[in-house]
Amino acid sequence: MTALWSRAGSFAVVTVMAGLAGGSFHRAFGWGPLTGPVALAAVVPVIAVALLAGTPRRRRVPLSLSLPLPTSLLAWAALWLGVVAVTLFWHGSPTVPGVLPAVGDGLLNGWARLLAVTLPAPDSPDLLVVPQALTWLAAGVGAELVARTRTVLLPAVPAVVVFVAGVTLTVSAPGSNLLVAAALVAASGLLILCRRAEIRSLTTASGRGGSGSSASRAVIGVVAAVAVAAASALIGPLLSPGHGRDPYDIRAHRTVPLHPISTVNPLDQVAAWLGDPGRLLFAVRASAAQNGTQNGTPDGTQNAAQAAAQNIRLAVLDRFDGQSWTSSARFQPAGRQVPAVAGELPRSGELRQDVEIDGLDGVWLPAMDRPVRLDGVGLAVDVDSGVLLSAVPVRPGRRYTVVSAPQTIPDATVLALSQPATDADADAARYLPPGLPDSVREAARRGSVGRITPFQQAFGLEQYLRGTFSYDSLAPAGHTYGHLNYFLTRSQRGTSEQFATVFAVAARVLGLPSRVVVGFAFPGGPRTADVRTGDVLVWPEIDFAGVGWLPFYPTPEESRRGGTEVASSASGESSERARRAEAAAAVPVQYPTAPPSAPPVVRHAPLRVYVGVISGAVVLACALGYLAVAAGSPVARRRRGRRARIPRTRVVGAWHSTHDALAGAGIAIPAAATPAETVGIAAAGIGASGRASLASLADLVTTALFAANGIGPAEADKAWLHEKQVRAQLRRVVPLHRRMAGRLAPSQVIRGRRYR
Amino acid sequence: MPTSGAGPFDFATAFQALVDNVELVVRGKTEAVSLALTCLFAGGHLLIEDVPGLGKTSLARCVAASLDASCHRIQFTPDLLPSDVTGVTVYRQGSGEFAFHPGPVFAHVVVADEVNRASPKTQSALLEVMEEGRVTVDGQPHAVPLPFFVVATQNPVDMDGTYALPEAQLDRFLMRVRMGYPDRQSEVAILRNRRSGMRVEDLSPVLSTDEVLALVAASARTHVADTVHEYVVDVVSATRTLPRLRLGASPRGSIALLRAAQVRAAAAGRTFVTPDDVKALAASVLAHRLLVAPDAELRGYTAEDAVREVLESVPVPRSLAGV
Repeated sequence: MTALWSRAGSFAVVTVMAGLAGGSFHRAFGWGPLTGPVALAAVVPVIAVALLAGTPRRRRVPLSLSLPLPTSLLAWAALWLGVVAVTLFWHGSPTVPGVLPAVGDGLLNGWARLLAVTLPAPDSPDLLVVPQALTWLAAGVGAELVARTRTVLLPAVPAVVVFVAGVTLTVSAPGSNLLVAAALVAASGLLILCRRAEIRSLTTASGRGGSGSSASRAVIGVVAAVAVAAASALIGPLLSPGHGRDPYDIRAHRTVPLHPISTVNPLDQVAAWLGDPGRLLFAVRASAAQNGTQNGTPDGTQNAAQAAAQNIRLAVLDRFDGQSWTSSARFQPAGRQVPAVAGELPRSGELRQDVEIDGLDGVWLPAMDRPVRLDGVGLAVDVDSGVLLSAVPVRPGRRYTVVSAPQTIPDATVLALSQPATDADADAARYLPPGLPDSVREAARRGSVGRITPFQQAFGLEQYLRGTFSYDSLAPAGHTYGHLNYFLTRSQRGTSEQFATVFAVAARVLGLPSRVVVGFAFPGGPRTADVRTGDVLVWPEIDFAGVGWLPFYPTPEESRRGGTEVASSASGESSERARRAEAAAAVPVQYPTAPPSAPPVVRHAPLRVYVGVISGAVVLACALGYLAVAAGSPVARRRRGRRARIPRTRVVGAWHSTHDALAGAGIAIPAAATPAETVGIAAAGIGASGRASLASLADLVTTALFAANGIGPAEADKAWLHEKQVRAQLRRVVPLHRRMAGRLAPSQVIRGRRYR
Repeated sequence: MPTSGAGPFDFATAFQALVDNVELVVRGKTEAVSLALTCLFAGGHLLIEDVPGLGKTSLARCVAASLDASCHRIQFTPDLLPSDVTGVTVYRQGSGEFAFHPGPVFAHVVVADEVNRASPKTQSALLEVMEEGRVTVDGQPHAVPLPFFVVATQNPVDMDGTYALPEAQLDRFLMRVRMGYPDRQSEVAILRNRRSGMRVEDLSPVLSTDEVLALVAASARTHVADTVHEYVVDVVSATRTLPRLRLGASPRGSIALLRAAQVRAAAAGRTFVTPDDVKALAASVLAHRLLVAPDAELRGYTAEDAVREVLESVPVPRSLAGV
């Protein structure tokens, strides 16, 4: 194979590797939108470099561009700018108007957005520019390294770095990069073959022989490739979600908090909306998702039925300071999917909602619980609660699509025995600010009297409020401690605002983590429904371990208007939920109840055993490998040095072998020591006869290294004779255990590599 | 180990003969003498620095006296003018023409005694002639004879009545040699022989100027391996990145170090340069080109310490070039 063809092969492999590295972002974008930009970014710079570099040259060329550096940089920037503007930003960017400002914005801020957005990310150009630019860089730098250096594996490093970046940035997304990693390893092997062939051709052409160690280097390369492949195969599965532990996710450190302080608290709007119940807020077209499969088989008929009874959430408020309920949500830019949260029952079926905003204002976006897929511009999501937010205040005509997975209602027994959650968030959701009115405490006591389990206590509270107090859509607004006390002790009439907040505070009195949700009772009926202000409904939720946040509906029907215009629990609560809740309340539980057994925990014993065995095997293999390298590499170096064809190389090999022996005997020779200085340093440790041999060897190696001539086969033989004498002397004066310890020392193994 | 062959200009023999001749007067300073002669055969100029009374001027005069060459001595004083060094153009009434009257710098060996006592203007008069081997007066260049060897002595700059040599002029000296105090035995010998011992005037030349030029050319042919070239560059480059140095050595320093190493190798009878030659000469060739950072200087850190630090950190070549 000629150098030209070998180089062409190297360029091709670098192109493939850069493409694969850019492809590692497929977990964020999917292959569809990613393939075009990445493929172009992998091909164009390599072609440009190949054209600039020309044919392979016999002499090493410094690592520099052919053109003067500023000119080259300008040319590269212009070429990249042209390609990226045409392929990605031709139709503009959702973040910045204008092609060039959008490119600059994407380049500067794209990576930060990619870190912040939930995965999979939308295929917007300001995000796609990140893998495109990295792929371009990997391809360009890799090709330059191919063209300008004679390194074998170095051209693969940029692609590997980009691959690592891709894996790191997308580790929490569904999918796997194992196949990409395996392809990268295979491509690295091809690169080694191409590069070695090219270097061999150039070396032969320039009349310089090889080093004679090509076979061993190839073996080392293969071993390294196999090791990397094995490591990726072992570690890779552990990085993918769903194997008992979460993989390290750098994105966890990059949550972007958005505090919708400037907008009106939706809870404060409830009374106003109920006072004008006919105003259109938004329209929803609910239908069964076509390709939705989350933890179950899609069932369009059932989903449509569920859609009729699924409330639409607007805001989740989980912090109460005695005056107002606020949200602790931390919103981040939403991608195309919303990741699931742990500690919930599996959800089944999916509901698609096409939402068009009309009279709704603010930044909160209505959606059914719990969004799993999104399609819209400028969406943000709180992953914990699944609440959606708009990056800019909504305007009439704003459209977006949400696919939600409805919550599965557990059967009565599970409900009855469910225990409150105990994590940190739940503790915060139990917090009661000072000043709690006695009336609320009394309501909690009365609602839970005779109820045994936490769910039954919550259900009892729900029924107590629903049966004791009246719904009045014209009741005064407010949910402070004072308002609650007024509601419980004086007016005893209120809207869902008061019912829900009284329930939530009373639940906290009972030790139940609670929050309130502001949303809308979905009217059902036709698939396209208008949601009006009268549909607003506030309901509380309790966090149960292993189940998630369960809604309760303490708001009764409005008696004055007959419940025809405003929503109540009757329109918000599904019949299935009501039936199961009543059944759970009736589950006989002895008092005092024994702590119900925790939800069955899936033990990953086989996985742990597998990981343990694999880890042990890896450790053992590493130890054996280290011993083999530590013991074998000096022997291999010695053999290689002795068998060198050129006498000068043999003399240097004898010197290196002597260095190995000295280091193994604990006589450290600094790298800055000349052969003559080495004799002085080692003199004390090797005795007089050893010193004479070492001095003679130092003279020989000095001549071999620095003289124009003067080394023949006889001198090479003498050098190895001196080496043998020094070794023999070392064996006499240095104990065996010291020599063994010296040979196995890591510094000895690393030092040996430097002599290559 | 291969050695340089014997012949009419056997370098090692001639070098040793010169050393022996100088040491007839300068006792106990073998290394300083060898360095001075290395500087001569490397085609450079020598700066001898130390406190008064240590034999700086004697060494310079002895080197001059050992060569069958013209030798002028200039005693630098604060009122010395540049024209006192380079020469002047005078009007000759008889011929009615201007004629150049050469200054004392026109000699094979110029001993510039206490060079740092003259004003910077006069010091700079030496710049052109040291670098280019010629003097330009009234726009006319006048070449100095070859070999041209400036041996300057100076007192440490912190002594009274001295002007520090500018960096540009220091860089033009191939070496700076410190004499140092003689050891006890040598000092006793100096006292004992102060009446009967040899004086500079008693020395006989051992080499002619042609022989010196031939030996200079011979030393320049000493083989330097590519790895040694790289080692020299590594050493000099390291001085440019040392945090405690304000200024590292210039490429002129690299050339000087390599050239001096060639002479040392030839003087040792070798036909090739080794890293030992580079290490042995690095302090003398590089130290005066380095500027120590003020904070390091306050802690007693010297340029020689910097060179030592560099030599202890830069790995010597251990593999063949290209292998």
